Amino acid sequence: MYELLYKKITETISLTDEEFDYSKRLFLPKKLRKRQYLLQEGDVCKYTTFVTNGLLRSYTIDNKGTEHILQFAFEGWWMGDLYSFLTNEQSIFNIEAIEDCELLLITKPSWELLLEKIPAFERYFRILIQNNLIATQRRLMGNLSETAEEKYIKLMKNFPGCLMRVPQHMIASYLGITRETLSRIRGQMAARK
Amino acid sequence: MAVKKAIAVIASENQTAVSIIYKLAAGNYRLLLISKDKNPFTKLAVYVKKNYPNAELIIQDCAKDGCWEADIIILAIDALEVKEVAAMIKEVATQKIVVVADVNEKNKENILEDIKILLQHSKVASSSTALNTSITFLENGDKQDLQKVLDLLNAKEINLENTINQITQKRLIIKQI
Repeated sequence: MYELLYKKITETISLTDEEFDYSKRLFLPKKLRKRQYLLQEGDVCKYTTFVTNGLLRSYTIDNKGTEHILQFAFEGWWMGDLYSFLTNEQSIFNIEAIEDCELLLITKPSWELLLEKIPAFERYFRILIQNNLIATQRRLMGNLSETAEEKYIKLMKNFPGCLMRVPQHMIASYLGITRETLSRIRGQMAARK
Repeated sequence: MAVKKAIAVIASENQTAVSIIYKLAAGNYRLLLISKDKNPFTKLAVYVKKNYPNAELIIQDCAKDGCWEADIIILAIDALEVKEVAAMIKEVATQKIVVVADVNEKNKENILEDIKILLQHSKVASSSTALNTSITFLENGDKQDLQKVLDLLNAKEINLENTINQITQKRLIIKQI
């Protein structure tokens, strides 16, 4: 249950067995079935979540009822609404399981306790947030300057597993294009091969 | 819209279990009914669904899987079984509220002491009748957790006496047939 968490954390920081044992007890293990929600818009995001198995997505719905996918979280990734988690304010996001999931959840008080007791986690989460900021900036730049095909090619390159596990309409939503456009791009790329 | 909480009720066929399940069915929860013997819950689920068509009831036989999925765990089983079940679920009950319902008063202190050790990273509460009576937090719980348990066990006012009698009568009829 905790092997992947240990692996991902120790890729970034060193932990003693005692430190990891202590950190384990602060996480709440949770199974989520496909299509169940971890967070719904209007709720406060009480947890930051580590995915040990399965796949999550976070999204918003605009006034016209269109979904906009912000992020997918595969095994070894973290998911949450950081703003809501830190401020205790209502979230504007929904987080839903695309597949059956096994998750490790940590509340804000437990997270703060973890940072206080094991300062190495300060470094771990600083690097995590740093990487997330870089990824978000790149995604924003991509959305502003790249063509739909360039965005799709980049997604295939960076997350090849995504195409096998995520339905096409969700990929289109993540890329900010219509289903028809995605289908056309895929058709054109297949024809070129 | 709030996410539906999943509540695992581990129970053997007893009055406390029946009243807890019936009471929780009136609230907006996903109920995971876990028992070694599925039959009593199958009948109960049909009965509950008639009265609460929107109730979400899932019958399971694996305590560990059910508790892994749950946000809150209720143990409504015989005092002798509580320790065995606690050992089974401890890995997946970390940081979760575990309500030990209706522990036999005679052995209560010893049993709760053992549970406290077994589920040392859970938020263990004991309830003397599991209905509207006193809740005691043993370990790790705070005011918010206490409120969650109180909200949970006071989901809706119902006449429990009648419900239990009706269910018992129906079961007798089924057996006679």
